[in-house]
Amino acid sequence: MGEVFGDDITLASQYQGPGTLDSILNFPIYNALVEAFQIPGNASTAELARAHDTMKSTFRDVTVLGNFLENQDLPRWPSFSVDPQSL
Amino acid sequence: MVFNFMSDGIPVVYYGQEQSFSGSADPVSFPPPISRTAFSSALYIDEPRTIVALWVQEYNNLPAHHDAQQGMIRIQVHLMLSLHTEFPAASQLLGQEFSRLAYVPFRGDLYLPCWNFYHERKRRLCHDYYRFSCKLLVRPD
Repeated sequence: MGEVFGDDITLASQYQGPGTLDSILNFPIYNALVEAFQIPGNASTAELARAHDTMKSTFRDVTVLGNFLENQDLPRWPSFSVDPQSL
Repeated sequence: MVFNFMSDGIPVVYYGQEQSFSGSADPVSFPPPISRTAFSSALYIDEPRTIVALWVQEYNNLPAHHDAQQGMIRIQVHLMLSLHTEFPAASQLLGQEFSRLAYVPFRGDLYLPCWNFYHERKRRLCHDYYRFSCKLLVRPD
């Protein structure tokens, strides 16, 4: 599983497939989740749905991507979302 | 978090996420494996201010390979509790700044994940974390 930083779905999808990696961390969905659920935030769940659908059609296999909300390179969720229930 | 578990993909939970750790950047993204709640319930006796210092006495005994001890490193810790009394031994150990501390003879082993200490840089960052975030004092090298 690799790591492609950023919310560019097309770019990230190029790293999964024959001759590249089996899977990568799901940064596109991470960014969409932040946009959708962080408080205060854009609450753009439509964008989350769009990202989800786009990824399904762009990635070779979305079922093996690594879904995450926090890792060692990112601020933890409660540090930017004021409501702990948003986690 | 529910979305990550219920949608396509392999869900990943970063340690501490389940306890709502709130670090915003290195090094506070690397809190100790014991939550602050655990610290409170286990060590805070009367009120949070009672514990004012904790330092690591033997953390230099790093294993050659961090996997050798199942990814954990054992360090010896001492606790200082503020009892508002003069205590010469504590003063000698930590300086005049802590002259109004009483030394509570607690010496115990604390297990920390080795990967925090594996690199010198991260080890120092963790020291800073203990110093500033947990109101703990780490004895310098």
